[in-house]
Amino acid sequence: MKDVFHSTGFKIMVAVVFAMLCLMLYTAGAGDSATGKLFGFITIPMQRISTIVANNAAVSAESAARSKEELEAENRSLRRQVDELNKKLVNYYSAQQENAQLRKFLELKNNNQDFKPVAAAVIGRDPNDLFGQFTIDQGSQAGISVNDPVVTEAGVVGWVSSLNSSYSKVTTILSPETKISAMDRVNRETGVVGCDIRAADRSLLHLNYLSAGTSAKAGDLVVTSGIGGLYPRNLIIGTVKDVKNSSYDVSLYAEVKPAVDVKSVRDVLVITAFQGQGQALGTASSGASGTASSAGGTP
Amino acid sequence: MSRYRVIRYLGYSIEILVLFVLQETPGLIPEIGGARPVMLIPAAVCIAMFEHETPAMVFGLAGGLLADFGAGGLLGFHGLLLAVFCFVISLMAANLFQTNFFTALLTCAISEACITLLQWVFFFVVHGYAYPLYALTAHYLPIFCYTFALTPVAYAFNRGLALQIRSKEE
Repeated sequence: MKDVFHSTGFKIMVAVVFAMLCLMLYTAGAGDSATGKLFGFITIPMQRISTIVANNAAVSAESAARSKEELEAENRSLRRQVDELNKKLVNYYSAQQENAQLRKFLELKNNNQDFKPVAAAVIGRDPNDLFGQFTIDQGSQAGISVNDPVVTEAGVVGWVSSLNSSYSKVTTILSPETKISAMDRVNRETGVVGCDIRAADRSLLHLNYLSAGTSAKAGDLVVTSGIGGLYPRNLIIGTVKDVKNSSYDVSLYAEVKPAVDVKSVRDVLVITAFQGQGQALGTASSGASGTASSAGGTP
Repeated sequence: MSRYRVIRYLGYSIEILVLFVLQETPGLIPEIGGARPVMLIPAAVCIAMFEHETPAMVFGLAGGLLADFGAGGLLGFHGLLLAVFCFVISLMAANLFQTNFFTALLTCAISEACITLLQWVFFFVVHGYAYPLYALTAHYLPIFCYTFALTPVAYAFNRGLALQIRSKEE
């Protein structure tokens, strides 16, 4: 035991500690490294396969666990839904026709036409992360870049915080690092959507900096305002659940129920390009004090 | 290096890779109180109890770097901690105490508690997030408990692996 400090093993340990410190400093600054690429090369294919196996097993287990009565009840309920939806479909087509005519008439343009989406599957969730961060199976090879918004058909999920050639890490809207410039769709009042650990545990977001005389109310739809150039306009974030007084100042904040359950989402879309992308970032970076998060940016 | 030692090291390497994939796969390990276990920690600590300090440190380093890679943050944090812990644990297991179920539980509890506490400090408190005490009690503590609950399984598996192959080696 006395000779530990003179042993080869101890010298190797000191060298390892030094190497790890250097690696930490390097990744803290550069955000990526050859070691990360190496681990990604080894583990990402394994994670892809294990996720497919786990998803298939979950689907099989779900149907096997239900009784005949439950399946018959579900069948009846689904038939009723199909009848209702067929009726609604007739109204939908006429509304769509009317909508198309109005759009043409008002020369409105479909905002989503400028999107360049990349479909990705969630292949990893780390147990150490408290805010639902996850790994997706697409990276820079698919045209994804850092800060690209991540969505589903229901609404905003988060943003790409780091990436490699074949995978990306997504920081969700539940992370305190995420700040999104948002707008109450009903009264067009703007604020910044953020979160903390307590709100994240209740799967809620905060629409902060609402004025004292705000008319925001429960049920209002909250969407991205597009300010900041990191998210396109009018992506759904969630619906207002309640409006409360801020404990720090005279402003109010709204509790927002996210449209997407980011802790269980399995398939996402990464928007790699959209109209107005990075415009405010460019302005901010050219200014002396501009930061990505200042104008509703995320990271 | 003997053939059996190579087989043993290969076994540890596969164990670490499989545990990493299991802990990272979404929906595979059931959540308890919103927490999922970090299975690489008890595995690396238990390997260290049956190996010499240098291989113990190498497996600790590999497990730690994989944990860092999964977390997507600072690469090297868990690598450094697990390499040092495994080196010290291996040395203590060889010179200070007997390796048995209770010393394994104690060693795992102390090392997991230290790593969890340092995670809280470096990944939550230092970032300046709100409600750090709430995060410690509502999130980091359940992760620690769930991880610790898997220690007997990790101990039994690695003891079996180490002793079975070592008896043939001798």
